[in-house]
Amino acid sequence: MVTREDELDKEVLEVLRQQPEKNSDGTPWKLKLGSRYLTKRDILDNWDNDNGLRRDVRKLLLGLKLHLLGRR
Amino acid sequence: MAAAPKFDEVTEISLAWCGQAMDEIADKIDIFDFYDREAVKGYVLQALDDKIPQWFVHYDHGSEYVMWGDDEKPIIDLSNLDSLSGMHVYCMNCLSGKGLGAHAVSKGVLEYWGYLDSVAFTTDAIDEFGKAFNYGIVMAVAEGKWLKDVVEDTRQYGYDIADKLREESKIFAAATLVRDMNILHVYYEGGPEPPEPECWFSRLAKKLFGWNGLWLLRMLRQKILGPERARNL
Repeated sequence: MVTREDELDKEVLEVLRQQPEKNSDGTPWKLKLGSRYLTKRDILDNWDNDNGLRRDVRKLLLGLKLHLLGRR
Repeated sequence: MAAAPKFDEVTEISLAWCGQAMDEIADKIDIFDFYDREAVKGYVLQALDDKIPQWFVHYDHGSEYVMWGDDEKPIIDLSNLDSLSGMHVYCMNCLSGKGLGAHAVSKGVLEYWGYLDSVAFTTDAIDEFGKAFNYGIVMAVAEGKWLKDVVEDTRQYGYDIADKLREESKIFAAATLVRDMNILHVYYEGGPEPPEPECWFSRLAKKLFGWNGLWLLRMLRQKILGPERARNL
């Protein structure tokens, strides 16, 4: 059974795949989230085994969706 | 007075943001910083005694009950929060808005600007995050206002930047900045009560002894167990 979390995870992964690995100055793109400081590769490598990471990143993008609804 | 310790990659960035904020207000207020010495507890408390600043600014790692220093030890924690009494406190650190902020007003702090959770950012929009994080202190000093009077403008400013980032397809940057603006909070006398503690024991202690009683219990816990080691930003 496909849950809402699974659907959201798919969406998050799609956004993540589109995220360039490097910034415009050539330095690695990183996300500072909680006590973590992660590259795109770190997130992708840990995605399947790290529930906390999945939950935190999911919440980030869900927050943006809610924000956009409120701005309409 | 601005304390912005630096001891890792993340704090290099927050130090730069703090420097930009101080540059923007340098013609409006005398600034005392710790760029030529370490921002550690001894120096900071001594400087607070000597200078008696109106504003205290901390950019760096924070945790619920601690603002961390260059030596990776607490500068400000529950035991010396009252050394900021009579000041406007502006924190760009993780979580201290949740813990220290909740006790700040009862310890005599005029107002406490902080974040209720971990601050987050992405490196593809360092300048934009810096502008959003600095906006409050810059506006308050420039316009002679209290932080509580500029917090909603700041939130709006951050949301506007987030919208631009989204238009540039910087989706993670936009989402992260929205989250930061959502967890921004200012405590002040007469303002909304701090959120109820999550832990049942803390809720009971607060009900029985008030915020100062809860502060005492939490401070004793900190003295016995040491400050929590988890630092975020």
